[in-house]
Amino acid sequence: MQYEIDTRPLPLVIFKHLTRYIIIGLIGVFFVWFIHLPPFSGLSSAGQKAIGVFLLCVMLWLTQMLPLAATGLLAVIAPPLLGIMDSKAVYAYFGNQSVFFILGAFILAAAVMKSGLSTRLTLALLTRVGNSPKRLLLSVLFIPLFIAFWIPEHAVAVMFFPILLEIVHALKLKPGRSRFGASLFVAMGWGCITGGVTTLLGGARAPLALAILDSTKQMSVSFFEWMLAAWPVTLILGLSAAWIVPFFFPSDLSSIEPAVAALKNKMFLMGRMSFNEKAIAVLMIVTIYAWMFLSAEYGIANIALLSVVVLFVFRLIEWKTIEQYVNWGVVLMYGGAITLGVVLKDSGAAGWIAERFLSAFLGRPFLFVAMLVLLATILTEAVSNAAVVAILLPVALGMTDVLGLNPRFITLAIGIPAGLGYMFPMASPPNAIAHSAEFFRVRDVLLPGLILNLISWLVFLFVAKFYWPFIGFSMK
Amino acid sequence: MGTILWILTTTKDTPKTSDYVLNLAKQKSAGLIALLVLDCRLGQQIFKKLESESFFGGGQSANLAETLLQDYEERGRNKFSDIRSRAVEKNIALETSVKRGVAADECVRVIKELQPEEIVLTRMPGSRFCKFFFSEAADKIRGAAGCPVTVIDEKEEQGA
Repeated sequence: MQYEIDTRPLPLVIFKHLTRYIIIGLIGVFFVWFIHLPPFSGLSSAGQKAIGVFLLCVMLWLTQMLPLAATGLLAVIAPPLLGIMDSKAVYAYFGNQSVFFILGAFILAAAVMKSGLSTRLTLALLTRVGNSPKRLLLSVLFIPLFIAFWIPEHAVAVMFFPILLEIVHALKLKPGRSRFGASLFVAMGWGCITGGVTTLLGGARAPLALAILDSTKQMSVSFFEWMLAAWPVTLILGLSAAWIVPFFFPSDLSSIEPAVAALKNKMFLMGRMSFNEKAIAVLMIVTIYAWMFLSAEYGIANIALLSVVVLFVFRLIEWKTIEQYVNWGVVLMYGGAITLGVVLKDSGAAGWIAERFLSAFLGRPFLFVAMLVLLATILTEAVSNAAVVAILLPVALGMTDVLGLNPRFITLAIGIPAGLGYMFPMASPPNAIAHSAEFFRVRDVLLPGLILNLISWLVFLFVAKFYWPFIGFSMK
Repeated sequence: MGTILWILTTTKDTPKTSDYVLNLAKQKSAGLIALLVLDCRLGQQIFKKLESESFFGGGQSANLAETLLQDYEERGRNKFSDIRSRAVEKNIALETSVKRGVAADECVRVIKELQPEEIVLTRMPGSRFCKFFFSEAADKIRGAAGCPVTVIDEKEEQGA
């Protein structure tokens, strides 16, 4: 047996091992202290405890001391234990249809990926780009952007990453040396992120936002409505990225012939389209059509789950594959976030926070929206997109009564920007995946990412103010 | 004839280290062994966080980690072929080896087996490989080596 002796100073060793416990302990002590304070004026005891639970979850989500799902569990168990809400009601929130919609969407995405359909579609599009580096770059931006409409953005990045590695190998581009190589990886990450906000399928945050809206305000935004509201933002941001990426990472190549040859070879090796691929393609088209035009009648979750059952009827996927692709923690996170939203509302805490801290915005609702969008954009650079929705939306929905804002409008105003983290690798999974290839450093994307974030803020506000009222999303 | 062991701690360009190692081998009339250890934990470390924060499936992050390691391996082999052509020019006997495992343990095992005359490492700011390596393996190598361990600092340059 080998024994290792840590030769660093003892206090440093102890501190390093205990840091996490110290932070969790401090958060716990703060929580206990807070819920034992005498209730603030105008706030019930239940409301005070609800704020305590909310702060506890916010601190754990921000510091990332626990996995998101584990914090979600805390949000579920704390309200019954503190007597704010009974257990039956809390556990019923796991039955929200958004939970099952996202599970169904993830399972369908797993089938698309596993069958090779997404890779084939990508290769088919990429092999038609011609021999210009600029066209290749634009394809690497816009193909993931388009595919992220239909499967989660992180799944698109996972699928696209190996293809991109083959392209850079074929072009003999070296990490840390080639600006064009860097531009390809940045474009892939940004394409996935931008496309991912367009529909409810791009990530977990949009269905979560709808779940909180449904549980607290009994309102909804349909699949089609979301898409209709988000597409101008996606289009303008996609075009902005197509300008920013080559500006900051100018091409150092004149031809991409070897890459096109490698892609064609890969396409050739894939052979003809299999039965599974064809069947899954048809199923996805039918499912997306149903989500867009029939979800009001049949429900998005029912459509998603019916498609999952069809997958098994035709043996298009095995359960084992689903277990590899789907992270069940999403259910726990959802349950916790929805519970938090309801607890804040029902205890009167959300309204109290809104009146107490956000009254400066009375009479200036658009300023409130602008700040909210900015806050969501900034926060999403530091914490998970879904956590941003879970933190901001319940409080913002509480504010809608005070300011007379449309809750559906506010849901979009948080749900969409919460997915637009362009600067840091950990802001979004596609960025993290792109960064792992080491073609660009964090500091290489700080300025271009900041510019795109600012553009996204302005574009979002412009679209919200001048376009959304025409499609039924007026601010008030 | 003695041997110089060059442990590759990055797959990026390392002109200073390459020059140093090749000149040293020539000067000492020693054989050169270039070793690249792909630490399996590297890929896992990058994507593990995404599992808990972004609801990645375990299989997805494992596949991604494997893709990344394969990419590093390919880059390492390309680097080896560059080194090989320079070694041939200088008439230096070169052996290359790519291993997978825990970086520190693999290096120590090779060091004990080969008993090299000198060990050379590269410190490259910004290289994930290098950060990972220097956080734990470099100290173990220093402890296990019965010979001088030279660390060459490379300054990373972006753009070409």
